[in-house]
Amino acid sequence: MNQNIERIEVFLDESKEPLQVLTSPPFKVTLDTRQIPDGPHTLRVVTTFKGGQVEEEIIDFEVDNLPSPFIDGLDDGQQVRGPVEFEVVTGDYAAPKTGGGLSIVGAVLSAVLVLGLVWFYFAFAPSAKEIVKETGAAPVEEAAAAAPGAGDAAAGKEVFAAQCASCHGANAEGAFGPALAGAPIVQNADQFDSIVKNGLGAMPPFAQLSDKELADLRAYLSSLGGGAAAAPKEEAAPAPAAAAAVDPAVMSEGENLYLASCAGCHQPNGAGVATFPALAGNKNMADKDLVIDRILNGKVPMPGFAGQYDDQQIAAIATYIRNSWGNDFGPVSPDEVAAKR
Amino acid sequence: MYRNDTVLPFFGILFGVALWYMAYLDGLHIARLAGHQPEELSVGQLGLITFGIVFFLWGAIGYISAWLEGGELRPGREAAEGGAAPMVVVFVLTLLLVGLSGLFVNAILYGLTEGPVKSSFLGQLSAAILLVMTLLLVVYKKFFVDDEVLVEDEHSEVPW
Repeated sequence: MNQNIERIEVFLDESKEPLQVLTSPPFKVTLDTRQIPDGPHTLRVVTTFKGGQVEEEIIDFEVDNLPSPFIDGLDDGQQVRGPVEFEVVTGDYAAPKTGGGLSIVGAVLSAVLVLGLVWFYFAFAPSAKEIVKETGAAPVEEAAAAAPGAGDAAAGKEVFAAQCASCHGANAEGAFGPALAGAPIVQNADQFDSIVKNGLGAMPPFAQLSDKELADLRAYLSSLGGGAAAAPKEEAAPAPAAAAAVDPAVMSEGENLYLASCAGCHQPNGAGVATFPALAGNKNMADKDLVIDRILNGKVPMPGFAGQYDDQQIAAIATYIRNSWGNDFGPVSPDEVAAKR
Repeated sequence: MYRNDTVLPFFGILFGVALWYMAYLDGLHIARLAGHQPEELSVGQLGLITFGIVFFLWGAIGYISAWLEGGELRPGREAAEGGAAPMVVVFVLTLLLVGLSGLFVNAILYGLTEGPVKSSFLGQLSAAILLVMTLLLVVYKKFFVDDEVLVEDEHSEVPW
C-alpha cells in the first residue's frame, strides 16, 4: 500500500463532481451501472499524492444493461412475401448472466462416451451375442458336428451339387444314376473312392477330386441317412377319367417305356429334378408336335429316341406323358409320329 | 414442370414396382415350367430386378429432393427450421446407427469364433446401416442446413 496517497477521486464521464472520493484503503469503488444509461462511458481516476503530485488514469468502458431487441423470424436481407410473422425478443434486465453451458470438448467427450458405450454393448455384450446367434447364425450340418475330421458335410454338399447332382439327383435320391443317400457303398470308403475316381459303367471318372473332397462327399452322403432326404416317391397318378379316349393298353406300354427311358431324369412321378423339367402340369404338353419332336430328337442335354423306338412306342410314350399326373391332353397316334420323323 | 416436380418420380417408382412384380411373376412361371422352385434367379429376373431398382431409386431421389428443397425452387435464402423434434430424431438415429454397427462387428466376431453367420444377415445389417445413415443425412439437410436458391432453372436437362 502506498502511504503517499492523499486521496483518490473517481469521475464518471465529463462530470466535475467526483463519483466517489477515497482517502483510506481499501480503495474500493462501487458503481451501479443501472443508474447510468447504456453506451460508452469513461471513468477517470485522479490520484492525488502527498505533496501535491497528481496522476490521472482514464478507462473507457461500455454499459450494456439493456441489450438491443432481437428479431426472431426475419433475417437481415431475407426475401419475404405474403404475411410475415416475427417476434421481437428483448433482453431480461434482471436475468443473471448465464454461463456458456457445455463446452465443445465436453460435448464431444460425452458423445464419444455415450455412443462408445452403446457400440461396445452391441459389439461385445453376451446378450447382443445371443441376438446374433438367434437371428444370424447359419445352421451347421449335424453330421459334421457329430464326426469331426471325417470330412466336412457342408463342403461335401457343394462338391456333390457341382459334380454329382446332375445324375444322382439334387438330394442324392437317384435319377440317371443310383440313389446315394445313405447307400451302403458310401460306408465303404475304399470302394466308394475307387468308383468315383475311376468311373463305373456309364459313370465317368472324377479323378480331379482330391481325397479331402471325397471324404467331404462321403460325410455329406452319410449325413443324408437311409433315404431320409430323398425326394418322396409318389406313385404315378392314374390317368384322369377325362382321358377315357386314351387306350389303356397304349398307356400301359407308354408307362413301361417311360419308366425305362425317361423316369431317370423326369422322375417316375413326372415332377422333374434339378434342370430336368417337370412333365406333370407342364403346359407345353398341350403342344403335340413339340412333345413328339422332343422325344424323337431330344434337346441338349436330353438325347433323342428316334433310333431307339418305333413310331408306335414313341406315340405310346407321348400319349402316356400327355395323360398322366393330372395332364389331360389326349392321345398321340403313330401316324402323327411318322409324319414328324 | 418444375425441377422438383413429383410427376416423373411417381412414374419412376410405379415402373420400379411393376418391374419387381414382373420379376416375381417370371419366377412363378419358371417354377411352374421346372416343376420346382429354382434356388437361383434367372437372367431375365436379374434384368427385371436391376431395372426395377434403377427406376425405384430414380423416383425415390426425386421425392427426397422435392421434400428437401420444395416442389418449386424460388430464388432466395431459406433458413434451416431446426427444432427439438428433428434433434430427437437425429439422436435416436445416431444411437441406432452405432448399435447396428456394433452388432455388425459382433456378427463378424461370432463368425470367426463360434460358427458360420448367414451372409444374408450380414447383408441386411449393412443395408440397415446405410439406410440409417441416409436418413440421418436427409434429416440433417432438411432441418439443420440453410439453403439458398440462386437461379431457378425450370427447363434443365434432368428433372432434378
